Amino acid sequence: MSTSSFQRPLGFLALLAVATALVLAALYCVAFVARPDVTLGIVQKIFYFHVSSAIAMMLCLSSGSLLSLVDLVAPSDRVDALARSAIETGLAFAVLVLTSGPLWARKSWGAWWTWEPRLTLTLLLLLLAAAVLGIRALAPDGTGRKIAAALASLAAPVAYLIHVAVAKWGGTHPMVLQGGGIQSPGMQITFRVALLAIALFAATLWTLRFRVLRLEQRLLNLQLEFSAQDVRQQREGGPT
Amino acid sequence: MTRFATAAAVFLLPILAFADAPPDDLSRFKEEPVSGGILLIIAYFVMWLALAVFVARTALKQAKLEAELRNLEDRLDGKP
Repeated sequence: MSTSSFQRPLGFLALLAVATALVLAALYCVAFVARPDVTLGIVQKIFYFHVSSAIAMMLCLSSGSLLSLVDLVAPSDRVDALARSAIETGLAFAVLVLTSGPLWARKSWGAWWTWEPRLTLTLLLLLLAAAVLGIRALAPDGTGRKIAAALASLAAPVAYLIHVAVAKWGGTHPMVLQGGGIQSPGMQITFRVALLAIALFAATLWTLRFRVLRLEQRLLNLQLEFSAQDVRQQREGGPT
Repeated sequence: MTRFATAAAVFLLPILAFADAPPDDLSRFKEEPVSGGILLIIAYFVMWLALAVFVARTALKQAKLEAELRNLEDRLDGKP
């Protein structure tokens, strides 16, 4: 396989362009289409990207979790790269969720953080993803890879618990999407555009990270091949 | 990526020091003196800055890896 197969294809650039255009459209909608919430005021506008990021986080980490399980059963470098890139992307969105959330909470709930089920589980999911990547960084192959994959497989159940947390155990989070939905048409359009923008952006990031991980794997294989060639040449040229 | 994850954990965990019991009901809700507009701007700025840094770092790493790969492939093919 040559490096040309890793060069940016037209499809990836198109995906990036569409994702960027949608993000700009979503930002326009947040600023001009969606009206500020009557009760919460302008700070409610954090909702559009906060919730979309949370959905992207759960989808990426659940995908990473299932792919890790597949890699655990039938190890494959390609599946491993897909799983790791999904977890890295999910972690990035988890950071966004836990950054934008407390800023909104400070105004709406009067506290930066509360130990309610959904928040606590989201923090647990973030730490789980960070631990998986930490283990992979310290022990990239062999047992480290298996332990990280086993740990990553827990992410999907945790993501499911985050989804059902408010319905099952209550908490401070409102049930907007499951509890009747958004009523204002302007808010509905803005949320749909923001969700689509973040979903496409997450797909773009996932693709980008996947390509980098595959490049790293290819580079490692080439380095091994190069070392082997070097050893062969030394043997052929050396004393018999 | 590990450095990113560690930095995220280091920056996020101190937030927990501000943890508070959740309000029992909305009647206890009090208007905070913090401006919602400022919080909104900070949230959007931090979100898009973090994403931009993530994309830029990944793109730079990809370019570096591609250059290293080309170099190694040329050496393996015996090119000068």
